[in-house]
Amino acid sequence: MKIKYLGAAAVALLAGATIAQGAQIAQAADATTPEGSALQGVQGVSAGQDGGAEKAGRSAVTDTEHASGQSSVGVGFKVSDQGGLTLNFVPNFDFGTNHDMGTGSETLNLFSKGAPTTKDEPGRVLAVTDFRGATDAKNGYTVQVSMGKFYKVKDSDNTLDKSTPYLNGATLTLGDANGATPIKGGVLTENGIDNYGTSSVPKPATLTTKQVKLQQNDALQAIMTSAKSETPAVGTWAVDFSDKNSAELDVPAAVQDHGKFVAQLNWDLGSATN
Amino acid sequence: MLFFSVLMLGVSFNPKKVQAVQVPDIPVSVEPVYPDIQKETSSEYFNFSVKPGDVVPTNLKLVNTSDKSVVLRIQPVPATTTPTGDIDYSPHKGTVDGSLKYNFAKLGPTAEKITLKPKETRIIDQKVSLQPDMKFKGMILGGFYIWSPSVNASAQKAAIKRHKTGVYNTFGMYIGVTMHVGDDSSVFPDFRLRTVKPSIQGAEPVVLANLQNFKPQAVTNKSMTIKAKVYHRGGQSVVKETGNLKFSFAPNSNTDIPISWGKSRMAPGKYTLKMTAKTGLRTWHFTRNFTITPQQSAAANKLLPKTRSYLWLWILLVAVVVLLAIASMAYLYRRGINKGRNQTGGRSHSHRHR
Repeated sequence: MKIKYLGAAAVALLAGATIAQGAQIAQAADATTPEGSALQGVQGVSAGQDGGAEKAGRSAVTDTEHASGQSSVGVGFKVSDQGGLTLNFVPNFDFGTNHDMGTGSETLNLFSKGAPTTKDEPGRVLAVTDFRGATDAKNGYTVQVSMGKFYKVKDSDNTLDKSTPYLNGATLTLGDANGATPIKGGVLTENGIDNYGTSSVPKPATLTTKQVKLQQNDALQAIMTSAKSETPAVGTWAVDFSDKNSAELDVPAAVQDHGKFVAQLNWDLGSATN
Repeated sequence: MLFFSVLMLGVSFNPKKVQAVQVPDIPVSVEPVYPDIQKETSSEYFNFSVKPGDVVPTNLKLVNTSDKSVVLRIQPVPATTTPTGDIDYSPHKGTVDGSLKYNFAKLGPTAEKITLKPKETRIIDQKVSLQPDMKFKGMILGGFYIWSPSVNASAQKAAIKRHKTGVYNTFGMYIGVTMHVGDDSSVFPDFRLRTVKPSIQGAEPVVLANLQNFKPQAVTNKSMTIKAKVYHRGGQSVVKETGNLKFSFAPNSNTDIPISWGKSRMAPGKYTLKMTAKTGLRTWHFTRNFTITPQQSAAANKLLPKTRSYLWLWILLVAVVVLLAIASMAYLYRRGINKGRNQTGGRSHSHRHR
């Protein structure tokens, strides 16, 4: 009789704790449901490309669709008159809005699945075309990316408060942090990305794509490298960011704050000894 | 396969070599204008042998492909090494490596701020000059970094207007300059392990091991393998390790290589770092004792998720068990007394009734 009572009491206690915890999780999940796309209607982001990519030559400053002379660059694979080495597309990362900071949720995945990849709208990809020098080109290229500090947007006058960085310790991971294939990619065709795994064109041995974890320290990391070789990776190669899990922003609970914060993501393309 | 044959076809009909670099948002292509001294032009960047006293033009050809004027900045920079083993040609604040005797940026190239008119093509004059009395052989590595502050400012403005938390994209281009001074094939990289100290990277506790290449020669094509392990001092078991890291290394540069604790907490104490760096020619072994103080570990652990403690639950549970035990013992005790009382009382009761 005694033992029965004790057991029941213990079960009740544990059950209480479990329920309390479950409620907390549910609340957190609910609070982090994003309400809308952060990039919608933004100047410099093409309609429907909130989760897409920015094009080479497409200016964020003006409304010009393409800088002239650049229409042949990109997907389509005509050897353009210009040739050269071009960073065609970089992904726009949209982590949604109205995340309720302070509920303990740390990982923000991309707001939506990227748009399907087509000839004109490649979706959320990072793509480079190398048409320099043809067959005797021995040297490759490197695409490096770095993240700056998060600064708060001042509501009063729509400027950045650069006196204090926020979200110190936030990390932006490009590539699936938990997936078996952290970085997906392939050759960019008129129908989108022909992934390495399924492609009739195997991934060039000289091409390296790597998951990167960016801290707010402006330190460059190579995400895509075409190595010096007798058979370099010519043509257009892309990294696929269409999955919602293909990038994530981790904000430690201790530094979560209320407000709107923006950070610079700088992409470099160049050719040098590497 | 079809794609490649199309490409090859295109290329064979297009023997003209165009080596310009272009990025989104900046409607300008950048191309190196090779000096006569450069033998190999398939490099796609400046790469030449020089001797003291030489003056070499390293001009850049810029083409504005848009019908708007564009403001650009050109910054000569010495090559540095990133913590992930890439050679970095972007501008950095702060001092250069102490062993860097000849900084590319100070050998004649100039920083420029230019405005390109719509459709304008312009050659930007640049040069490197080596003093005749220069006693040096080895590699001098640097580059020109090109970006548009006004385009960056517009991207930031758009991001602010968005009024949401997030990141915005900006762009830069670089053209490398590799100079072989004298017979640099007899100069080899050499490494020193400098400071080893705890720190925090993102939210993760790390130990940063500063490795320096103090010779004027690069490690290229990620041909060096680095492995670092942290042990409890005097112990045999590995606390944390890096695995095999593939590194390139700029001449006369240093970088902080992180050994991460991941999501686990870093304990204060005495440790030993063992690091191996290996190229095709040579292997370096480094061993360094270091201490992590409680203050340092607390700082390194500060952003780790708080471990949810169930201690209070156990305390409560034990308290309840004890209370129930006491209560039931008291109950039994009282029942025992009552029983006795009832027995006697019953008798008296029955007595009374009788």
